Amino acid sequence: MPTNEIQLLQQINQLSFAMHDTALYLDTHPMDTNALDYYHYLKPMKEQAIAEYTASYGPLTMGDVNSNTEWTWINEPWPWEGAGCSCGTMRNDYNIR
Amino acid sequence: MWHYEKRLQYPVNITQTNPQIAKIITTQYGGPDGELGASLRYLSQRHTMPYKEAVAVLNDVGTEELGHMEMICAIVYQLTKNLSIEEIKASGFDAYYVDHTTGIYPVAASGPAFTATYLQSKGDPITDLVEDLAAEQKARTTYDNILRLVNDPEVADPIRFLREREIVHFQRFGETLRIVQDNLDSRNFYAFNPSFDMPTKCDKNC
Repeated sequence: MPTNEIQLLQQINQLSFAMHDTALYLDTHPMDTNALDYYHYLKPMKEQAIAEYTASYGPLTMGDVNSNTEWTWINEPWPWEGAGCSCGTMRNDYNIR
Repeated sequence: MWHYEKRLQYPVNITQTNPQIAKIITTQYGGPDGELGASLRYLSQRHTMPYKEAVAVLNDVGTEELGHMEMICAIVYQLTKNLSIEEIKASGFDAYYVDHTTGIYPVAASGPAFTATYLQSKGDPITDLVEDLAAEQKARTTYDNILRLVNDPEVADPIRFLREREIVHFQRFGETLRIVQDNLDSRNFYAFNPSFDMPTKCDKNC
């Protein structure tokens, strides 16, 4: 993964988590305007980071698909794949012929 | 990562309670061919599924099944609202009531609680997709059986929607199985297991 992609993704993760954690607090403190201000302060930053990420590295949600020629949603990597490289030749050279 | 949307995939608005039919429909929440098992099955299987089309189908159908589970829960909740003890006794809902009051809990219509033994994740794409095709048909049959027992159009309408989705998913899984087989040796699809013997994912940056 290019460094910029990793950095953008980390930024999205941090902003999203901050918003989510604030949202949980707001669920039990719905009238706390300080927390609400903090939520609204984070929101445009997260939207900006997602717009930058999806423009260069593909969609994070189906709604982010921009291409008119290809359904880029299915493109790898999927988030659970991890950093290791799994590409290569037959690992277990046996068969059931 | 998931986000919750505050809406149902298809609306559920039931005005007439019916605990007897709730007992039947709850099987599509916690029963052997229910939506909870379907979602867990596909979202588990997607990890080792080779080929990006197949991963996407399992991911996206597994996600939709969570929405179906939510619809079933909404149906059961609305069918068991504001019940009197007399209604509970007369409808045979008492056995569920004693354990869960009117709380929503995943059980089969025949009684047993949900178990992961209803599903499999075998780590072999042909095996997993054939299980998925069967699962969609079993759920479709269950919805057919439910529709024979239901008279209320407010209940039948969302059930018909869910039944249709089983047919669409069956079609998509059939196409997925074909994509998997197109990547394998047509003379022997079982020569190796592409999820285990030959990792096929080849990221261009790796």
